Amino acid sequence: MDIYPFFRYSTTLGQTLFQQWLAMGDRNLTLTPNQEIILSALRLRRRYGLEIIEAIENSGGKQIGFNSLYPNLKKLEQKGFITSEWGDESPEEHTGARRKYYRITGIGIQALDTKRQQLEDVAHWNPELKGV
Amino acid sequence: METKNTELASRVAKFVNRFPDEWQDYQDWLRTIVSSQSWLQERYPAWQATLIFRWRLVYFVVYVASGIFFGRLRRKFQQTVDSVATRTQYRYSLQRIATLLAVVELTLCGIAALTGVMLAFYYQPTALGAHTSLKMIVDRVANGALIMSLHDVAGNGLILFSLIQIIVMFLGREFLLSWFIAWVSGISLTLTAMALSWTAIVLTWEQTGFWRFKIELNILGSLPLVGPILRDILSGGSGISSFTLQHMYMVHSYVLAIAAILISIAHLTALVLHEHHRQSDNPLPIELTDA
Repeated sequence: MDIYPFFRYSTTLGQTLFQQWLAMGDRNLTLTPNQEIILSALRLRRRYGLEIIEAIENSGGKQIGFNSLYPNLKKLEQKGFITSEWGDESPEEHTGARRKYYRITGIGIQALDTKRQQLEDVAHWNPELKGV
Repeated sequence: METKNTELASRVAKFVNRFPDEWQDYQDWLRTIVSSQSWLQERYPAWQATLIFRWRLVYFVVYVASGIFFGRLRRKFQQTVDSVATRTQYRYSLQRIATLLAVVELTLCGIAALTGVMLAFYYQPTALGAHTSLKMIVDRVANGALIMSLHDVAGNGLILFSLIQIIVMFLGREFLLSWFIAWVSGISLTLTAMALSWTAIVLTWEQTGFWRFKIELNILGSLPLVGPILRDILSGGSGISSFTLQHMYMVHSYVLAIAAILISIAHLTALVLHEHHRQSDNPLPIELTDA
């Protein structure tokens, strides 16, 4: 007698309930400082790699290393905070490489807002008066 | 210098182009490096701009190459793990090991039962007679020490092998009723073997066993609702006495020992049936059936 269907049903049900429970909790919206500045550069418009670096440099704030840009963009894409799309420009003449544009997603905006809210909460926190 | 840099970049592009997936993922990075060349020349002296440009190219190549290497390694590993033939062989081996372990368990149960019966010929389950009778078995009965040791080794071995069996069965799990029965009986056998060991603590009537039993009986007695009743039933009164010995002896020899033999027979039968079912229902790979 094959009991796999019963087992499968119970584990699928368990998985669904577990996933729902996870979705009810906080999604992992943590950002590193570099990821935060990259996401901020994409907040209002889609940009390509060099444009992101220029936007960050011209803002006068925190700078990021050239070599750390793309690894961070990949991580953000994997987390679902940004999406990428090919540009309409023709490929670069020597290498044949195409340009990619990055766009922030709803979850990315949520992550940025969470980070800013956290900074606000830190600024407004007051110690409780004890024994006064 | 600029031409040399561009040539270098096109060589890198040719290299990465050999790996279509990585090229799709990283070509815009290379384009950004090439595009940044004119921007670097505006800002820095020529030698410095070249140095920075080449450093970026080197970093790009190392990053992408390591991605290619580890990606392929991961895929290769995954393919090996997912391979149906490998999985079948792996499961089959574990199921054979489980059957062999069940044979070992039944043998150990048999040895423990046989030596237990031999010990019961002379053992007296009373406070005054327990220790003396065991000493007499060791000193005077022919091969008494051997029988005692065998009983001890078989009991402890049963616990050890039934624990190993749980791990083996977990790894070779199968969604069939026969395997499920073997799994439940395997766990029951482990619990029974532990219970056999626990009920034997006080039977030797020695200091260590006596005090250990006293402590564990008190722990048992602190269970909510059923604790005190259970303690009284097991000990046969408020303290540890001859009644306790008789109760433990009865539970050890008649209830748990018989249960362990029956469970280990059921366990082995379920595993043998499972193997039979699996061989008839799901033929094994040729190399295994040939072997």
